[in-house]
Amino acid sequence: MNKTAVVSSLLILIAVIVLIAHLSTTGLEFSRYNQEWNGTSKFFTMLEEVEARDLSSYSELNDEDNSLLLIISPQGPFTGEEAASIREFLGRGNTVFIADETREANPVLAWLGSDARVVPANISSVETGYADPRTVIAYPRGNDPLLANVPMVTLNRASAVSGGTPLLATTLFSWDDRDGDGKMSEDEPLSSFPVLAVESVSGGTLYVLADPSIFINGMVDTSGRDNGALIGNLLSGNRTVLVEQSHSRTAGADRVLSLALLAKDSMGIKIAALIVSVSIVLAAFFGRWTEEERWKHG
Amino acid sequence: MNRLSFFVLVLLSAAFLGLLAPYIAQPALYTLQDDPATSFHANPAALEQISQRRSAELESLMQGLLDSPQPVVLNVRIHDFEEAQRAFDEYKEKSRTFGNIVVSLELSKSAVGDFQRENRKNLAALERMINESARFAEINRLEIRYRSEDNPTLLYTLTYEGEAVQQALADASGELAGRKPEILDVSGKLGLNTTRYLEAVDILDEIVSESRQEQEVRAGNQPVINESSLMLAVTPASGRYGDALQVAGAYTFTRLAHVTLVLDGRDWKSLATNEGGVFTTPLPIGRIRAGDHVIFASSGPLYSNIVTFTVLPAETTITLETEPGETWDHVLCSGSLYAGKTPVRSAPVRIMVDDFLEQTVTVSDDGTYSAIVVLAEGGHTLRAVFDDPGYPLLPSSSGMQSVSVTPRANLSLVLLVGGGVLAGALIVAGWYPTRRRTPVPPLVPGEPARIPSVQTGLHKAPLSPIDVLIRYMELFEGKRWSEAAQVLYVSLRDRLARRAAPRLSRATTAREFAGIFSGTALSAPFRSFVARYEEIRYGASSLVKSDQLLAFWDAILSLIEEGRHE
Repeated sequence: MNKTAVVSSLLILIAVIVLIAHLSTTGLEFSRYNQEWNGTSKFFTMLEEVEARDLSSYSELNDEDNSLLLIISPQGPFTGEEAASIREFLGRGNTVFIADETREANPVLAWLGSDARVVPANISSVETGYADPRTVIAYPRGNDPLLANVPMVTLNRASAVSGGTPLLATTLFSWDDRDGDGKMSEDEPLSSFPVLAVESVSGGTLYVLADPSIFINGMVDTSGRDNGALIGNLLSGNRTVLVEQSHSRTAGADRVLSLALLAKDSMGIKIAALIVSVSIVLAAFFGRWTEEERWKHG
Repeated sequence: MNRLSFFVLVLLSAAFLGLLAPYIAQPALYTLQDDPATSFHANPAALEQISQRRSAELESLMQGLLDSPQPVVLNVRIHDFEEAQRAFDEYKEKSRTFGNIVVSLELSKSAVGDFQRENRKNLAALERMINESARFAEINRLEIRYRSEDNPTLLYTLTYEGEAVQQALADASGELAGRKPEILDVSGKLGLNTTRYLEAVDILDEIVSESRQEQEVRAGNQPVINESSLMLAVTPASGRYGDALQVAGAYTFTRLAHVTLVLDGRDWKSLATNEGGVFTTPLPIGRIRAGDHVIFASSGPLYSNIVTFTVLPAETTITLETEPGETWDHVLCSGSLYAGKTPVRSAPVRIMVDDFLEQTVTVSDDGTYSAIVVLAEGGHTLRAVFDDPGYPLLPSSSGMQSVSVTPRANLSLVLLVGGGVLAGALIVAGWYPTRRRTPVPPLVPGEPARIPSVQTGLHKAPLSPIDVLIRYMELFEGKRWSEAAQVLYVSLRDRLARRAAPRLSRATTAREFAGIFSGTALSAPFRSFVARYEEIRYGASSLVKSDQLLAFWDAILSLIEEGRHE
């Protein structure tokens, strides 16, 4: 093979790797494939460390005991069957953790017979983690294993939770910034807003957090303090961790990435890709052989 | 490269171009500012990681403010007014700190802002409470003194004053007590403990009740004054700020040389009766409390009847204007204070910045005032307030003025930089002409040209005039006018260099060089020489055969030879 061919092959190889790397990411909110600040790739790396499993079908819940189901930023309606599966899952003493700020989890919460609801709000405070009144700091308000060694949690554009037993709440110097001006107005009274609540439902434990943003790469804290401690407590214990991937925005992938994921998961496509690859290699080999023969004889 | 490789290369190139195409117009592919937030969250990396944990501080301050009146009123109750004032000053300082936090956190429109406003009113009422209580205690002391001195007239007037002060005390206490529901409401919303605040309100109520009882006892013991033949009258019986009441009296038996008028228990004025035993004096209504006042006249053992007159409260109008001061953080405040059309002379006007007292200024005789306030960077609100209860005037407040102060460039820094630039420019200006100076053509053909310099001239003997002329003629023949003129000038300079050395530098021009000899015999011919020299050197003028330049040069040389250049 001459130098030109070697250089070309290397360039093509690098280009293919770069292209694959690029196409395997996405900018979708909360997506596990999104490595930017608003993705959850870091959190999913943590989930891999605890051998968490993806839950793509709710029928898989039927046999689970001593398990935790994470539903992070759900979207789209849950079917009655799905809600029933979650209720049965709770009925076996399991734990469900729902993190939502858009109230899309409210129908399923109602289905489960829970009193907890996500109340859309633009919680702002004088107690903030960053120079932005919407990066509100919430403090523990009750005793729960989830809050062990959690002095505070920094939220990012959180909503509020009503019902249930409040576990985390903002300080009294917080308000619902309805006009979004970052300041308190006369019709925006000061109040302490619960942001995490717990409730016993059908014998299981249901947590509702009004801010899934604590799981994004920009917020996830691997130091084990504050937010990190909360996530650490959530994933600790000898229980199976299941990550909902039917409704959660964490499963988000755009078209090209979806195709790549489909190929990754489909045996037929894998075989087809293998045949195409072998064909290309063979074609290249025979092409080279033919050229060499032509050179020898010509 | 075979066809397959080429195909793959084309495919990849197309893919990369397709991916990059949307960003072709953007020089920076990604910045944090492009991606500050989404509808779900803000990008923490684009935010300053400044944790603001002010809730505990705010809560503690508010609780402190709520608890602060208690030690003040406790000290008032035991008549330790010095300690009460100290506790009050602490309270005021806490309020100021709290006010700054409320402004910086933009909480003015919240329950915290309501709390701040109520607290401020409490602060003002409490200050009045301390002052009036101290005055009431003084009246009690005076009563004992006058009783021991057996001075029924002063005891009589003291009763009136005690009534007025007790009323003011009751008003201040009533104000504080009347604000209780609002304070409890706001405190309840903010989860504050109101126990000590409620205790303070109760103690105030007790203080007022006690003072009421004391005043009633005093009124019951008010002596009866026997009227003498010394008569007194005040007309009209009431007036407002700016009016002048007329006080008139008479003692018809004899001329009294010394009559003292006693106003509200204090000596006010001394005067004498005229031949007819009559005395009059105006009583201008200025800084005197609104309400009833008593006045009587005394002269030795004689006491007049006691006259009561009323000072009615009047409306006031206060204005405020702001303009930038001399430095970026100074704001010039000016305005006026009038009661109707009457300027309120010498009245204190409080300049409030962000609703907190910044400074107190005094109104001048024409009713105007001015002050310079120093503000921190940022936006502020300014207001002028007049509410001195010592005047028979109703409080007034100017409109709110919003100002924004931003740092201007530091003047000293500007001067320093400007000075540096100027110095640099001067150095360059000095260096440039020297650098540009054309080397003098060699005086002797074949000899290398030398750069004319002071040093050279000082250390080398100047060429003889003959040599200079020869070189000049050569250059003239060659039509090198400029160089020929320079040869003449340099020859003069070399001769005169020692004389001019102290004021000579490398950058000295021909004109400056000539200026060195002003006041000497050389002055006139040298000026003419330079004028012609500059025409040739810089004005592209040509030399003629018997050019004036040569004549001036010759004249200068002659004067040098004669020694008239010293």
